[in-house]
Amino acid sequence: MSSKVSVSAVRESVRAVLAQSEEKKRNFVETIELQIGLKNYDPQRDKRFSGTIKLPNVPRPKMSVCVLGDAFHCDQAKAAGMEFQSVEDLKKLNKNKKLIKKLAKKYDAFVASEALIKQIPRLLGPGLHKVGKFPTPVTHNDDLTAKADEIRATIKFQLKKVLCLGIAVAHVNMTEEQSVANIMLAINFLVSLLKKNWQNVKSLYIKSSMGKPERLY
Amino acid sequence: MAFQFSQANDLLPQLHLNRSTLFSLDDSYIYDVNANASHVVVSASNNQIKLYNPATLSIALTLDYHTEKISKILTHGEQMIFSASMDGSIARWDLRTPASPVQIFQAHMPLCSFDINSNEAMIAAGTELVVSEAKLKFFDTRQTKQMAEFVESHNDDITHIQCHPTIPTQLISASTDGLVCNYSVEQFDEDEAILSVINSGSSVNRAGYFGPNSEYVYCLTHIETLSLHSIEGDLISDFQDIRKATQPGLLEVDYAIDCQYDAATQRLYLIAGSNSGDINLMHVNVGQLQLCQTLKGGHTEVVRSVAWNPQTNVMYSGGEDSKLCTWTSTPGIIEPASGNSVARGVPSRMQAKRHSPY
Repeated sequence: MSSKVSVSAVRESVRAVLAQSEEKKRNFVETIELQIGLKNYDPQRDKRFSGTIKLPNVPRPKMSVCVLGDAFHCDQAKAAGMEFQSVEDLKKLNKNKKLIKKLAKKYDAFVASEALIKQIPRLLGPGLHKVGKFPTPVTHNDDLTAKADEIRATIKFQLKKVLCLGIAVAHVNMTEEQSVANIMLAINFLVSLLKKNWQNVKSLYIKSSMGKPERLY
Repeated sequence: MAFQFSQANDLLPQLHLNRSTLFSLDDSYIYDVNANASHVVVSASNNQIKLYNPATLSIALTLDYHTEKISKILTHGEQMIFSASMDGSIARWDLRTPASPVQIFQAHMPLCSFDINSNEAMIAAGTELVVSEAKLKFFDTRQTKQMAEFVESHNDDITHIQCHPTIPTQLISASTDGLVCNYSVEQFDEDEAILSVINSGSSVNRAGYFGPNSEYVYCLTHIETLSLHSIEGDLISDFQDIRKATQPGLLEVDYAIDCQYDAATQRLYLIAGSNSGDINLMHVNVGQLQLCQTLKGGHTEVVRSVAWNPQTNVMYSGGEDSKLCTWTSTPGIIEPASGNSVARGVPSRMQAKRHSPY
């Protein structure tokens, strides 16, 4: 399946978005969002369009990831300067809903050692499920910082009952190349999941948080 | 590619298209196909359920009740059918009195999934996310009464539920939030009920038990990944994107339809489809997919459901082309897939079949 959007066209649009953002600096790092409009697709009848995309460059560098670790991972986290909680720390919460909620709120995501993840339901109940932060498993062979970056680089998309969908794929502090790589990957992956591929795509735009939309397709 | 791919043509007896029929002429999608010995039970996007004679595919009964999308149907024995809908209800049908449902279970929230437990005393149903809650609801089948609900286990639409094949108090639920939860619900205490959790990392389409003692779980996501886990949650095999099995011009794998465990041979199969309507039957090994057969010529669009019995070697399939197909060991007398031969003086027995949908 060939892409209907060329790298050079995306690069041009990214440049326009970055130039706009440069022109009027904001007090925060603007996100670059990909907006996709669908056609010949019926959200009622057609298969669900939802999932995750792992991008080549981290679009959410500030996302905080906490390690729920066994002794090995706690040591590794300490060495890497990452926040962590040991089994003992979790036991101290004593299944107290308020304390679990506090822990869940404090971080954007969690990773947990394979051995510990099995105890999570018993230690914390469904507290992390409700907020969508159940940990991602890590093994002793995984590099903790790499795993955390993998989580920071993975974005969710889900089409609800309307025919358009926006996903944050980049930010204005990324280089042009990084933004282009993220946008191309996201577009090609999303289109590959549609049953009629490009025939299901009505429009594609990118836009920064405060900027004007740039049409790609 | 995160798995090995090979051919295994002699693992299963070959299936051939035996006959097919149209569910309706209004382009309805077929969502779900179930079968017992006496009927093929089919639900479609016009909110109807139709029952077909398995040998002839002529319509035996039409069940009308639901006012919104039918999310799932289940056949239980020869007489009972259950159907759940986004209209918030589960209907229980008894085919001895098919005019209307014999029981209605009201969930008061759109239902995406449900299942009945092994002793038939309990129905577990999963709702869509409404405001900020997706609920897992439990009903007593004798009184249609809601016994309990879990509100914390998932934070998005609950897409699939499967009750344990032999233990009445155990079940798994899957959601677009990426989790598959495994529960034991003796007391219906949500804080204590969760035994283990699989975090697939992406929106889950289906998950189900397999293995001789149902000690494993397969997990299929909406981005078409497959992974196998132990019931305790350990990852056994991560196939990642199954569409990578595609070989241009030879094999097209665009999506998973479902997995099926054959207890007699202790084999797990992945049934995957193509956007042009092919059905691929694949044997699943740890880190390995073996293509057993591609069923071509039945469908022209996305295949949504199959009901396959490996013992009798019969499969029924339904799809977005509104077609219901029967696949058996022996080829049927079938008009070419391109169709339109009816008007041109084909033998009358074939015309009769072609005109049977209503």
